[in-house]
Amino acid sequence: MTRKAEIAAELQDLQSRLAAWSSQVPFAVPEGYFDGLAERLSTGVCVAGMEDPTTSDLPQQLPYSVPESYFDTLADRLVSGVKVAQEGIVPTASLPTSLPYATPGGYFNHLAERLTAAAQEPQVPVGKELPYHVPADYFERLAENLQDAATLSSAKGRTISFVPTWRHWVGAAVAAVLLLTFSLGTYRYYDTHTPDAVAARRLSQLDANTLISYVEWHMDEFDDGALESLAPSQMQLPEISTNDIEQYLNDGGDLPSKNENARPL
Amino acid sequence: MNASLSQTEDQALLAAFQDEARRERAFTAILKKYSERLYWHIRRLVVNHDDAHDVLQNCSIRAWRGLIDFRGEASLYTWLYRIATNEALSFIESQKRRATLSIDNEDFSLENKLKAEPGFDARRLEWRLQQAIQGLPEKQRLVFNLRYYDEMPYEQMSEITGTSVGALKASYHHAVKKIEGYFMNAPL
Repeated sequence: MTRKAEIAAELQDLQSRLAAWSSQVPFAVPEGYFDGLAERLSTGVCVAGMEDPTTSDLPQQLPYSVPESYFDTLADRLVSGVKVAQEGIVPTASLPTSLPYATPGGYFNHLAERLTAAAQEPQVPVGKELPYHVPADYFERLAENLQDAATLSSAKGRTISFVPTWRHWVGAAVAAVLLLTFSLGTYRYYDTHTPDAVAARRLSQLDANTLISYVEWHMDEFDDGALESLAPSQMQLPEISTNDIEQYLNDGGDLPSKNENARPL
Repeated sequence: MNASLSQTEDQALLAAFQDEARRERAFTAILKKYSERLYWHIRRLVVNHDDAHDVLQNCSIRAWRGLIDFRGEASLYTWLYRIATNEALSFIESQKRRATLSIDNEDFSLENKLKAEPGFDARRLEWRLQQAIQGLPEKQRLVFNLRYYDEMPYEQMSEITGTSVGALKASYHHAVKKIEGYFMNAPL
């Protein structure tokens, strides 16, 4: 029997309509794709394994200019820069010692004599009079004005007591009750709306058939071995014969339970 | 007879590959022999042509690097198929990760790639079959493709996937049942 016939017979045993269908895939392939495919793949392999291509035709001289004698003291300058950056050390040996300020010509000539002569010049006496202006009759009317101001500001202010009254205690009690109510409400809300609580609520609403159907559609047979290896030995998994497995595969139905205490799959 | 001839040819190509002077030509000959089959195997898993070409190129690179140490424990065909399968499944995994992290909500799902294929028509049987296959779990899809389209014996499939023949048969049977169920729930 050819392999094609063997596979067709297998599908017929499974009572699948696939046995009668063509096994052509409907995917389109660009025209000429397979022509030269091997060569293109080979080239791709070579490119993947190659080092960067050499460019021997390109000039190797850079067009940039560098100040004269730049490299002669470069090392020292770099070290100085590192010291400044790391230790805050300011190297003074290389700093200039002359100030850049300009002074009038001949300034220092006979400077001492000039300073002495200025010190000996008679000083203009400084009076004790202040230069501020005061309104007329200000001092004559000062006492009267102060009395009027004192009279206006003699109204009694409100007394604030530091001793808490019964109103304070009632207010504090109401605030405490509101805070407690809000806290309890928030806690209860989040306790019943955590992702786990929501998931548990939803799962409890599903019937067993829905869960079994979901597991059948999404369980990958290759993982069965991993699941079995994870199951503890105390779980007492039911023993299932090869015939039962084949019947299950053929019928897609539940396995007959031979043990009342057996856990359903 | 064809199988043994093919095996003899493979051995000659592998011997030529070991010779540095003839390596590249031998590799090109190996690709000429197997690239189309590998392409379709990859394409059936990743759907999109450009993705399939990328995966095929990666597969070629891995084959080039690995052939030097190939000792012939399995047939060359099986070895190449194993590389192609792993590369395709890795590609699909990376697409899923991209979909999770994408801030543009880009959809990398195979179902949408299928719908984006030129000539896609959800009323046609061959496209609906592809939709049913794309709905299978990853490894069931792989086993189904290898058996139904590549007509691969279970023993050879076992060498490629590293899974027992019995488990592969069960997986294939499950896949067929699920495809039947798909057409039962949504008849033509």
